Amino acid sequence: MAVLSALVDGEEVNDLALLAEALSVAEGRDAILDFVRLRAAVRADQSRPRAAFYEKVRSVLEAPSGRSAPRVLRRIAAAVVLVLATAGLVDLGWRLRDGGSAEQPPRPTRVLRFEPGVDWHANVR
Amino acid sequence: MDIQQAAAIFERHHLVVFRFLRRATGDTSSAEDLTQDVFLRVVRGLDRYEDRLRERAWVFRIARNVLLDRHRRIGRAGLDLSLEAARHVAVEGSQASSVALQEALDSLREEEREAFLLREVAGLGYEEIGPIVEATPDAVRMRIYRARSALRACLGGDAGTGARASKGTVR
Repeated sequence: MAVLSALVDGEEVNDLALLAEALSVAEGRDAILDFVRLRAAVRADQSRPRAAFYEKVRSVLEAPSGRSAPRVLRRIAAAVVLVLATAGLVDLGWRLRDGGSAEQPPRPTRVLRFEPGVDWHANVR
Repeated sequence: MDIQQAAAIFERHHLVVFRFLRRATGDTSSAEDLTQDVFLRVVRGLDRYEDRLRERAWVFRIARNVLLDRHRRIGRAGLDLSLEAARHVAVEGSQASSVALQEALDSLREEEREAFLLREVAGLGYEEIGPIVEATPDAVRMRIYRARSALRACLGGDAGTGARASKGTVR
């Protein structure tokens, strides 16, 4: 009878002899009728969700897109503030290390010492 | 995420998904909650979804996963449809005779019920149902056949009276 079930579903039936055998008996024909009745019974269900369901779905489905933009903007704003704050702190650090005044020349980072007679000679040409 | 696209998918499939889940759980409230979960996952997965030709199969794969998650969450005991729940579904559907059908559906093995409902409610073919339930099309064919045979027996007592009983009681 499985072949009849597949037939009712519109699926491919390769074994035609088996199909013919199943259709040749009353039980097979009754089975087809029952399969069709079962389908009609199941598909007779025309129920719909209640109104509250639609309201809830609308709010839930729209929530991700509705909140995503502000969330992204908040993250971008937070990143900008962090970068600016870091840059400000670095700049302040440099200023403090340089003596607190931007008008003074920067401190040397390396000092080269030349000793007369060792590193240079006045009479050498 | 395109909210209009999500809304269109919801419009196309939500009723069938709801009816599938209602038959699978035997409970309208649960079906509503699960349907909501299904479309929430649809929205979340929309960016990754590419095979538009199999949209219905994709939606029902999600529906089946949502159903499985519910099974794991509440356990098999919680899934057993009580007579009260079956009556609730039937009365809400204004079809008292569908109590018998709902009880018969609940008496099926899980793998047979889901294959049968994916075929009869969702209207999917064996090739589409196979990947959803992780079975071959031949296995799907047998599950659906066994489900039908069990439903006939359950609703009619035996094969012969099944036909007569379904004429009178199954709507």
